[in-house]
Amino acid sequence: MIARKLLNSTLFYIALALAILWTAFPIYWMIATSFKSGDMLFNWPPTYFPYPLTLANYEYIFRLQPITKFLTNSAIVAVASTPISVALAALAAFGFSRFRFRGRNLLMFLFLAVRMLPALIIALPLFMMFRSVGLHDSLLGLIIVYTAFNMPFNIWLLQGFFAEVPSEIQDSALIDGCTYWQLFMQVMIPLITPGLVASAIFCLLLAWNEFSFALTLTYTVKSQTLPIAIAGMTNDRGTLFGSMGAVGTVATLPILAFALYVQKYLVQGLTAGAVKG
Amino acid sequence: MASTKTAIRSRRNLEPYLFMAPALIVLLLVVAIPIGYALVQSFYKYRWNIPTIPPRFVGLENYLNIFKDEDLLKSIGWTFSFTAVVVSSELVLGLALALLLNSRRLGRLRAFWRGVFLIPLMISHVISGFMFRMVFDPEYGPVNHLLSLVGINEVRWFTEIFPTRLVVILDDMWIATPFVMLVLLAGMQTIPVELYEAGSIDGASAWALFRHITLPSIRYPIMVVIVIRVMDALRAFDMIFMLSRGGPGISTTTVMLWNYRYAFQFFAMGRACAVSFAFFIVICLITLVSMGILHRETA
Repeated sequence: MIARKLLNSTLFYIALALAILWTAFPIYWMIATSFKSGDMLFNWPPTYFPYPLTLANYEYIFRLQPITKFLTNSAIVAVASTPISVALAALAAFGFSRFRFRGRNLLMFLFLAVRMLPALIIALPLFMMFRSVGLHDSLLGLIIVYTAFNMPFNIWLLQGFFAEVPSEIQDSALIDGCTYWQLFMQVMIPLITPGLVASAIFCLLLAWNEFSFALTLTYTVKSQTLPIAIAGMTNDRGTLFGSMGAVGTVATLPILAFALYVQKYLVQGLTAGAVKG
Repeated sequence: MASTKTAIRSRRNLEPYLFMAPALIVLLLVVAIPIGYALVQSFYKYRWNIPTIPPRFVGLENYLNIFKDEDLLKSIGWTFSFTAVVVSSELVLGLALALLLNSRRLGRLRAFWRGVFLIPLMISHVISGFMFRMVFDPEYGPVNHLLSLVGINEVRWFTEIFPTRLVVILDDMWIATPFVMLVLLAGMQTIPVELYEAGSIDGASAWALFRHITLPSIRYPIMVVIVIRVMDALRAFDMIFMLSRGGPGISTTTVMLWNYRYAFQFFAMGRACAVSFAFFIVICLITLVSMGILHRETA
């Protein structure tokens, strides 16, 4: 019995260790690569623990590559699209979850369909449209697209939060003479703050990491974001691994720190709606 | 919907529409109009890099050509097999991870480890593609080094079909398993402990507890996760674009990669629109059918 217990917990910890290795190794390798000097990158066997560490790759990307520009672009796009997207989604989610009306199911399905839409189906038409109104290759264009594309998911997420507010609260507010607008702003919004935080986090993450639209709608440093910067560096394989690692690290660490810090909300948001039957 | 009883009945009032109007207007401008444009374009032949030649109406030709294009048909096959393989492996791995994290051995550290396993979810797919590119680099990567230690030499990741497909699948598993794990774990945590205690007292084995308590209780989250993952895997683009560019040859080219090529390398507007439109309809149908099954099963 004791031997069996010991075996079980050994297996458990081996599985846990393997899972950690699987999750962390690619990230570790990217960060380690970013600190390797030129010749260390091409060692055989590969260098698992780079020493001495060098900052040459970071110097290179900050001095010779417009990396600060990419960073700023990513940050502007993420920060600007998030509040608009969350606000509009909250309004719509309130409408969906608290009213019965004609066309509700159809609208719900249409919103869901946007979530299933391949980005590329509208990237080309958008590219043409943006070109004719001067929004091509601009941060504003990206902000508009991210605002719209993050909305359906946010509506779906926030709807779950609205639905959980007990009907008694709503009824008494309405009996007290609240308008629907007051009900929304003064009663509902404070109650669903965790939902708002969760959807804001998603917007930030998705906008920061988005690739397809940024790839098709922007084409100069003026408005390109970090994922595009990395994809653009692949031409000259090998020699660029070090600096690509540095760009990857710069693009990943801030969002990672942020996301881990707000993990609780993230988990709440991702699992909302998927657990209850 | 949970809100059926609490809803405000409003048949004549404008309020619900007013609340939804801003979102609807934005989606109309940024999504509906471009889709309409794409739909119209899918019936024309037009090279958008040569604007002097006007679009020519060709009816359904762009759609019919889908079935004549052998390369595209191969890619459709690959897209579906890729989806089947990644979704099923992510389900198994995600379930295993969720069981691991649900174990009482972890105690208070559970939230910490859950956070660690969530990390891939927060990383850009393009960057994860880059990570796997480095880790599997045939000449300087650690994977080939470790494999050489056990006598497997110089696997040609990225130049041979099977190894490249394997890396693409592994990368997708790396990216998406945390999501599966998270949803299944949340499902497991709603199962009352008493159920397990009762089972244990009756002398049920760990396997029996899993088979007869855990699995039936998380049926709904499992199905939700399958629907969402199938929807996403069919549209895979970013990671593959970075990792293999669809190569070698067209062996890892998904439908979305073709779509990108038609639109931005061949400038064939009509063709790109027809392919993406047809594929969008297919994704919608698959999702509708699976959601129908989902609703019937849980009703």
